[in-house]
Amino acid sequence: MAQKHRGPLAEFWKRFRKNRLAVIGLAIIILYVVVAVGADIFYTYDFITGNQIPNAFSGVGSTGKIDDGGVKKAHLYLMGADNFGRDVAGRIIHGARVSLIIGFVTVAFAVIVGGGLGAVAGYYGGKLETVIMRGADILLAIPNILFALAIVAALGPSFRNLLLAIGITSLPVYVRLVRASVMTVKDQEFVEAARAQGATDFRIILVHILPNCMAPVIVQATLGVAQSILSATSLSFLGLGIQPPSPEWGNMLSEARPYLISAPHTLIFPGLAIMTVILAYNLMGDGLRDALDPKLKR
Amino acid sequence: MANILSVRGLKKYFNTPRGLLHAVDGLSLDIEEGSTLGMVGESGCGKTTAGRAILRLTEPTGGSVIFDGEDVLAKNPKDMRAMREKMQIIFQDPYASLNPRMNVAKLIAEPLIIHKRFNKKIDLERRIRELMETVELADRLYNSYPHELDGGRRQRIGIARALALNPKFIVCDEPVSALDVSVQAQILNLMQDLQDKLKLTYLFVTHDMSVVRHISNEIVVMYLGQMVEKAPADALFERQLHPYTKALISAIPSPKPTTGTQAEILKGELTSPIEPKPGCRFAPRCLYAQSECSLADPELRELEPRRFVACRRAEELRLP
Amino acid sequence: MDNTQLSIRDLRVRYVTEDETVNAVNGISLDINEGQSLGLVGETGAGKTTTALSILKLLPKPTGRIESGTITFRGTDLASASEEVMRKIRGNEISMIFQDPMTSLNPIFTVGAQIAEVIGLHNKLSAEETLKRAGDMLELVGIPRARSNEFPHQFSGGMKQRVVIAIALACNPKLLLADEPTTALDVTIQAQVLAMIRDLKQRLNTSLLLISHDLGVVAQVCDTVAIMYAGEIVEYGALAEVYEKPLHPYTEGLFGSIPRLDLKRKRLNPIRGLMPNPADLPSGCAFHPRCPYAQDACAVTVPATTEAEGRKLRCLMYEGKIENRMRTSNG
Repeated sequence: MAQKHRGPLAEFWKRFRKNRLAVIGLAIIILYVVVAVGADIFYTYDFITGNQIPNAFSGVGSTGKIDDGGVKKAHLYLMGADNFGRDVAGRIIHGARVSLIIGFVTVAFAVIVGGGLGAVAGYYGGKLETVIMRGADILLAIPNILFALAIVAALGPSFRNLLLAIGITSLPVYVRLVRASVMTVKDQEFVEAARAQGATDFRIILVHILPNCMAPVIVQATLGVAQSILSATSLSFLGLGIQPPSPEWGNMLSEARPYLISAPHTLIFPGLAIMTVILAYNLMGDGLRDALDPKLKR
Repeated sequence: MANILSVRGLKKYFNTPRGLLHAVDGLSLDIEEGSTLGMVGESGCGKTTAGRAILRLTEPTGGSVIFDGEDVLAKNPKDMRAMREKMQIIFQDPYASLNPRMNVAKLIAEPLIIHKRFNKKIDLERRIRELMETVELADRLYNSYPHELDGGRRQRIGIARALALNPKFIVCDEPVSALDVSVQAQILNLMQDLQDKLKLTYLFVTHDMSVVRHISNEIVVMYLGQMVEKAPADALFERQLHPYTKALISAIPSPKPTTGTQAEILKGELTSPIEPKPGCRFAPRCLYAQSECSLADPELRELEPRRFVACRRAEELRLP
Repeated sequence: MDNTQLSIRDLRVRYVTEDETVNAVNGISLDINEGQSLGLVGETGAGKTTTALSILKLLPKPTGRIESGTITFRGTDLASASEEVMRKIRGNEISMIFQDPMTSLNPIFTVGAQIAEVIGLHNKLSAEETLKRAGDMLELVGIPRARSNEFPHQFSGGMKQRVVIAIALACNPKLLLADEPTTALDVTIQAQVLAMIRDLKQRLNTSLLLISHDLGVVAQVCDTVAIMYAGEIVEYGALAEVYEKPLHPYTEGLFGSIPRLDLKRKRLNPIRGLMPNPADLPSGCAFHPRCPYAQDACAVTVPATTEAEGRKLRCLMYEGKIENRMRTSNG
């Protein structure tokens, strides 16, 4: 009998692959990550402060001259230039990096801290659980944007505070999710088996319970990245997040508002970027959910 | 041989919205080292809870458990973890009792890692393969996952895992009930061989009367949390002293349809284990019950050498 | 007079998925006469449940399909019948009960309502009449009529299974298919339920196809037995005779595997190896890798069904193609 050891990972990939849209989403995200990480390689000139005003509002695909450290070079504006003559494409790519960081950091924070709290609440129950869950309920009751507003108003608008605001508002979802999963898994026999072998509570939670709770967390985290990016975008649009001239899709949208009719490309491209990435994350998240659900049979 | 396990007055009660549920109510027994004590009964008799309470997988409400001379219930968590090396458990469900994210090697390694038995990875690996061989699991399955294997092989993983720390005592909680008949026989033979080879003591919990007779030296019959009869295996099947035991054994569907004995069909259903009233708990269904039976709990008495019964009418009835 | 109720001839059933094709039933034939009880015995994966589901065309769609063969019920071929015809038969002329009484009953309807539902589906009676009949059925299975208005969760496992039996027999079917009806029950409750099935089947003259892995349970209720292995019937005859002297090596192996109350043995005699994967069956005789009497021809030739000592067998030994080592080893 041929022994092909299909671990849980290989099984999952086989099922995920079948969902075309999800794979497309994944492809887009991979592209997005590659571009964001390699932002400096793609666009090396100083696009933040911009250049010659004559290039302002150059249309899509136009060419112009730029001053690259004293040397005049020809440059192709793939997506045109904005009101300051800055290359829109370049700003989008660097904005991608910012969004990427926001998405991952806030979700990582929420998963680790929220998940940890949820695991403790689910495993031990009692007063500890009550305290943690009511805390999560309070956070959930506050609308995200308002909470972020409050933090930013109190501490001032900065990248760090933005991360803090979005991270904290993302917590409750993971607390609840992990608590529910832990409560289901902790009663299963293999957990009892671990206890019978003399495992400590810490080991039981970390090694036995949590790895079996990962599925819903992964799905939520994927969708959560999208939500975080959207939150950051909204806040920046309102002027509470990343401040110009740092490129961020939200503040790019905000700056482009007055030029909607005269230079639509300055608005459309950041908008498209936001849409595409959010859509990709949602598609992938749905695909993940389907692939990870053990009950769904093709 | 000496008694390796002595249980006295073991109680486990659960709080339910409707009252206190007496899952195990005053169980006392001894098991000789190297022997197998079978524990039988139907749903709700408390046998599964008793097994877990003895191992302190669920905390007993009362009573005492002395294992290998040590007081199990008095141990602090750290010492209890050390005790676990000597007392292990094999579970019924070969699907649910194995962590689906771990492969065979990791599953068997787990107890060894928890108790830090090996420093070098290579020694650990050797021990795992040794255990796999002991339970007749093919070596090529080292990296397989439980979902790729059938029930019999999964159960062998469970057995290997239980043996990893060289325990003296193993609670076997319906280890073959979920397996096909031909695989059951393989596993039962394996367990008997292991007992002989490694001098293990088993508490074999099951609802299957034929299996329990085959594997046990002595048998305890449970009903609603209490022991109603205890006897050496063959003696129990030859002649039963308690009406419930008699009904239980006569209810076994025998493949030999010529053994004309009509099953003594019990009337009614189990009474509730919640806040049980005083008196014999079997009385409502007993064909021989009289009014005194419901007045006070029957005492467990040694009616014949090594034969214990909890029935006030046992001598009188002299059941055939 | 030919009083055959059900006649299956050379039935082949497969499950087809994207990954693989599972040959669940590979050419079985059987007959059930009026009032007869046939026990279908085998281990997990032998194809017993698939056979029963095929009779009522309840195979999971679209994976399960009847590839070939006929299932003749009182003159009609069920295998090729339309869904409309089947619906008139299900619950009415042929009923089925399943293993797990917990999930067989709908928790949001009273037991009386569930019995009444099946009566109403196949009969045109007034509401009053229907309810009265439902009450009658409850009494028939030993449950007081007054409990008609209770919900399934208010009954114990054994009583739930009785309700399931009441539903199955409500329209007085000619044939009852019972798939491991007592496996989930305690042994004393099982004894009650089996006694009841025996009694009812006699009173109502219902034919029975009882599926079980338990040789003892089948012996309590059936007069004929068919042993299934890897989708085939390997031995088929009168129960008393088969049990007294099994002729097929697999049947012999089954009896050797079970701990017996009437025999005292130190060790059990398990059949070595495992059930074959129905998606990847062995060549020749499906049992040959595990058979203690296997010879070279067994890996090559598929045995046909032959008759010996009054029963049907699938084994080359009884076709005279190979040496009968079983007889010689048993003296």
